[in-house]
Amino acid sequence: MSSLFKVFANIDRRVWHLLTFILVGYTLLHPIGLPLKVSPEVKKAYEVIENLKPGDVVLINFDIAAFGWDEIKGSCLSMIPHIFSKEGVKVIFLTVQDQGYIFIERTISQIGKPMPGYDKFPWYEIQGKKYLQDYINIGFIPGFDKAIAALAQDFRGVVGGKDWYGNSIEEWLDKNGIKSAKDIDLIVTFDCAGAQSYFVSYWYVPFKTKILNAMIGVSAPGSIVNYNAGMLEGIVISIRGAAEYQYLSKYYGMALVSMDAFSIIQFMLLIAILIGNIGYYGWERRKEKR
Amino acid sequence: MDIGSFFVILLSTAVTFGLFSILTGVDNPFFAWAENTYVGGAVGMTIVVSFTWIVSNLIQKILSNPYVNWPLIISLILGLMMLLRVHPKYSYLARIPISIATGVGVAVSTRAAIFSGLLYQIRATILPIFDWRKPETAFTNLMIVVFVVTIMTFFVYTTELKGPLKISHRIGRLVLFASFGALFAQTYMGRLGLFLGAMETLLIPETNFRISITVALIMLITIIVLKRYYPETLNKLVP
Repeated sequence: MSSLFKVFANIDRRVWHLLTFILVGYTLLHPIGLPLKVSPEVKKAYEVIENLKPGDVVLINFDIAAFGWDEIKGSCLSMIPHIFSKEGVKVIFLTVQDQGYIFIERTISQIGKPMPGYDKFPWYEIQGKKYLQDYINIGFIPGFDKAIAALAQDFRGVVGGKDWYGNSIEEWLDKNGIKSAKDIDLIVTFDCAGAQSYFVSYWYVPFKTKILNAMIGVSAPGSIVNYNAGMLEGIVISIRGAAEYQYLSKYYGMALVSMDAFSIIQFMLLIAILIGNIGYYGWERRKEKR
Repeated sequence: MDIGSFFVILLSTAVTFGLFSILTGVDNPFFAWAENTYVGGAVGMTIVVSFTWIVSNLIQKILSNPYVNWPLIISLILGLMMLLRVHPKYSYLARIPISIATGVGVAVSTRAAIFSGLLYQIRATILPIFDWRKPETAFTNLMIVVFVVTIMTFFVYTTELKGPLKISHRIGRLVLFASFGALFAQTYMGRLGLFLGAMETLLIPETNFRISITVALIMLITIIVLKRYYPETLNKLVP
C-alpha cells in the first residue's frame, strides 16, 4: 500500500500536462454532448438583447487583447449576431485596447460578408445591416478608463467626426439622434481587462445606461460583484457563459462544443486533487514523521 | 488555403507551442523566442497604433485649425513633457503632466467610486430576508447579510474579541476561506477557458490540427535531443 502512496506522491507534473493536452484535444475533436444548464445571469443578458427595439443604439466595446481572444470569441460570435438580428437596432463598435480593432474586424468578417461592390473593410454587411447605414466602427480610443469617462462626458467630441477608416460619421450620428452618452440605450462590453467597472462608474451611475458584460474567467469576480449589486444587467462568463448564450440564441459555435472538454478537465482536476492528497497524507507526511 | 494564410497559421501555432514548451520543465530556445516575439510584437503594435491615433486626432486637428483647437496644443506639450522622464537633466519636468494626470484621474474616479464601489454595494446587501413566498431567495439573502456582517467583524482590530464578537469573527474567517476557495476555482476556470480557446484554434479545422501536431512534435523532439545529447548547446541557445 505504501508503494502506491509513494507513486501517487511522486507523479511527475508533466504527466498531468500531457493528460490535459490529450483529453482536451480528444474531446474537442470528438464531443460527447454532456448536458448544459443555462445560468440566470446569461438568460438575463439574452433577454436584454432579445427585447431591443427598433431605433435603440447599442455601443459594443472590445476590451480585447490577443491573450484573451480565444476565450472570449465565443461570446462575441453569438451575442453580436444576436444584436444585429434585431430589426432597426443601430450599432457602434468601439475599442479601448490598441489591439482591439483587429478583433472587431475579425468578428465582423466572421459574422458578415462584404457589401455588394466592395471587398474590404469597413464595407461589410451583417445580417442585412450595412456599414454607415446601420452600424459604424469608431475603432480605438486610447486612455482606457479616461477614454470611457471622456466618452460619457462628451461623446461626440471624443468620437470626433470620423470613423476608424476616415469616413465622416457626423451625418450618421445626427440621423440616429446620438448627441451625447444619454442617447446610448445599451452597452455591451467584451472584457479582458475589466472595462465594465469604468462603464459602471461613468455610464451607469450618472445615466443608468444598461450594461451587459462578457468577460474572460479571470475578470469574472469583479463583474459578479457589480451584477449582484444590480449595476450590470447580465453577465456572460468565459467560455462556459458563451456556450450557454450560444445555446439560447441558437448561434451555435465552438464554445458549446468545448463544454465537454471543460467538464472532463474539471473531473480530471478533482481526481488530481484526490490523488495528490492521498499521496501527501499516505507518503509525504508519514515520511516527515519517520 | 493560400500560402499567406498557411504561414500565418504556422507562425501562430509555433508561438503558441513555443510558449507551451515551458511545460516540459526545460528552459528552451523555443520558449525564449516565442516570449520575446510576443512582447516585441505587442509593444510594436502599441507604438504604431498610438502614434497613428496621435497624428490623426491631435497633430492633424492642430494643423487644420490651431485657433479653435488650441487646448490640444497644451495637451501635446504636456505629452512631450512626459517623455522627458527618460532625460536625466530635465526629468523633473515630467512631474508636471504626471501630477495633472493623477489629479484629474483621482477627481474623476472619486465621485464614481463612492457610488459604484460603496453606496451601490451597500444597497445590494440590504435585502428582504423574510420573504416566505420565495424561501430559496430569502435563504440566499439571509446568507449574504450574515456573511457580510461576520466578515466585517473579522476586520475589527480595535477591541478584544470575546463573546458573540468572537463567534462572529470565527464565522467570518471561515467564510473568507470559503470565498478564497471559490476565487481560486474561478481563476482556474478562467485559465482553463483560455487554454480551451487556444486548443480550439490549434486543432480546428483539420489543417490547423496537422500543422499543430507537426510543430509540437518537432519542438518536443528537439528539446529532448538538446537536453539529453547537447546540454551545452541548449544552455547557449537560451538567453
